[in-house]
Amino acid sequence: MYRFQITNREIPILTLLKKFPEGLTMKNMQFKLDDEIKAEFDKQEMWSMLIDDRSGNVLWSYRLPKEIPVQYSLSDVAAFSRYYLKDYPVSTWEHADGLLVVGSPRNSFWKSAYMVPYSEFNILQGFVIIVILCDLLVLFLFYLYIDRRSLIAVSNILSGIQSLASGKLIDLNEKGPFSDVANQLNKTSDLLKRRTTAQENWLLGISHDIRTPLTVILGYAESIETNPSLPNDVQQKASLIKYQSIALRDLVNDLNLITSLEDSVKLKPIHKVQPLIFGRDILAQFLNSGIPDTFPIKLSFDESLESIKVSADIHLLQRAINNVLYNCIKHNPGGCNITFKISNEKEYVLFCVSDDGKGMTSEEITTLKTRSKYLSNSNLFNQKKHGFGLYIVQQIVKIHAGNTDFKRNQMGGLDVVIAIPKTCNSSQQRNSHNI
Amino acid sequence: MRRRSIIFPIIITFVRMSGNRTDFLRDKKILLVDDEPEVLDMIESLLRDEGFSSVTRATTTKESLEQCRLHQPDLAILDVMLPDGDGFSLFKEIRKSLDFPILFLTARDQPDDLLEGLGLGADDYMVKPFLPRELILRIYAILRRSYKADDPLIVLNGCTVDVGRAEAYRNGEIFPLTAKEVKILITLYNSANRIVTIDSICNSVWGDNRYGYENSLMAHICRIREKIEENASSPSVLITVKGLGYKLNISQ
Repeated sequence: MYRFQITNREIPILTLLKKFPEGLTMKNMQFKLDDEIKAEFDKQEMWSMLIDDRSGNVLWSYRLPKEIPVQYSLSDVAAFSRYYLKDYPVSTWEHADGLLVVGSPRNSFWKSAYMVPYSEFNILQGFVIIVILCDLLVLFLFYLYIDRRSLIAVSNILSGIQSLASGKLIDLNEKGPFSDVANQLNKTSDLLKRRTTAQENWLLGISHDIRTPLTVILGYAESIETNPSLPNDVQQKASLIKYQSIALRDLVNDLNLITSLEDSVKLKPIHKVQPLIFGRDILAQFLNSGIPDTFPIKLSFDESLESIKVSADIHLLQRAINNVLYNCIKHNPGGCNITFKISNEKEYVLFCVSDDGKGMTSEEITTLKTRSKYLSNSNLFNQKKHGFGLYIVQQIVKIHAGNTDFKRNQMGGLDVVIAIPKTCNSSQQRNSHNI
Repeated sequence: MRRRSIIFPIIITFVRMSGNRTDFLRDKKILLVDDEPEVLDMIESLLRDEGFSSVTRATTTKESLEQCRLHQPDLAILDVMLPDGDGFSLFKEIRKSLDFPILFLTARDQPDDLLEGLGLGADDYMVKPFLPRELILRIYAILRRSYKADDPLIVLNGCTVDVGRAEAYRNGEIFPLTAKEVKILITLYNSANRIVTIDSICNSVWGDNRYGYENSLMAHICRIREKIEENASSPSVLITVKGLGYKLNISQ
């Protein structure tokens, strides 16, 4: 240990000096210095002497330079202990036999004695406190920076989790703190996406496989139904097959549509639609599809609608209104009067389908209004009796930022009101494609 | 109203009126393309029952192109998914050399497919399964639209309209029609027996800027009725569907 310390030129002097008083011992009235210390003294060209406390005479010396006196007064001692002795930097040590002085070569050390007024020392204390405070401030700012980064990362992750919970897909930045969590969340999102795609593909595949046989069934059923050379009851049975096939077809169509509606991010109302022209078109197509005479349909509209437009996805909104119209027919097989009313009300255009059929009970209406997601609903099979039709209507209207309302009317039938917000940007209206 | 009485055109009219005016449409050659033989059988029997005499069929893209070259059909009904390609590519291939109306019949019901089909310039698009009646009506509509020049006569109940000459013949009398009246009649005839909305009639007669033409349309319809109806005050051929549009009844 000691050996190691003296090999270094910087540290050893002090260590050496500390060891020195014990290293100089009196044996047989002769002072004797450790060989090790001697070697180090030689190496560093240091010298030493022991001054007698009482007489001021040098009792012992080692490598003492010639110009160094051998007799000292108290004032000599006071002078060299603070400064230099004949320009040699010296240190003093207390020894059992006197004052031990160690000198280093000239110009090897710079000695100085500080004396600071107490008032300034107080200022210095204040200064130290300020420095510490500054350090703390820097630390605090550093903490804030780290904290902010973490906060941003955490809020990213939280919003990611929220998006995932509401069924949206996410792609979080995987850098910075919590990158592992972000990575895992992205993986979860990918998994969800793959599941949804698989579900969609499965439904598409199934629906494709059902469509072909249904085409054949529907085709032959209708030709048997309309073949006058066949007995009446055969024709009636064919008619039954036809309508059941149509029900099956509608079910497949509805299932497909529900799947795409649940992923409503993809769907945006992009067309600018003139409600009146749109409404007339729907009704004409509806009537042209061969509605029996037992369902007389009346169209009524506000004249003020001529210059108004709404943003809509034509195919979807048409599907919604068609569903409502077909609903009247489906639930009132004996026939009923249907009114299709298009009206202008504040920020909305209302498409209202009313019938004087059997209507719905208030419980059924409440169930319709309150049900949420269809496919993911654990109560799906209980709700099934209410059909997909009106659920699809609600979903489509939701995509259009509108409202759907169901109520019993004075005739005992059902009113279905679809409210679609008007387009407010007039310049956009002028440039838009007329539909 | 100006009435002319010329014997010669009346004779022609009566000669032409003796046949059913949809006959010439039933002579059109129809190509059916589908990879399912059962579907082909069903549609073919449907068309034959309806009186279409020239129906050919193909189950692949290659076969379809062959048939097109051999028979030059007047209408093709294409399935979208075929074993050796898809209907949309087949459509483009056919269009390179031939130009006849094409109707897509497909089991795909996604809006993108529909837009792709119509975007290519197809005449119509139907999703399987369909009601046979609807397919027949659409085929008639497409044929009537595409081959109206083949036969400019519109035969109505008790009246015949010669679109080329812009004249209506009724009870041995000739009633000249204006250009607008002819356009309105053609529009209605192209969708015969179906309601055509006020908006689409105005659109095809006056173009895109259709505001303010509703009353004008009503006046034209009144004048057309005086020429083609036995009793213009209770029309049986050109029917008004209140608030919606008009319908031209013809017997098929």
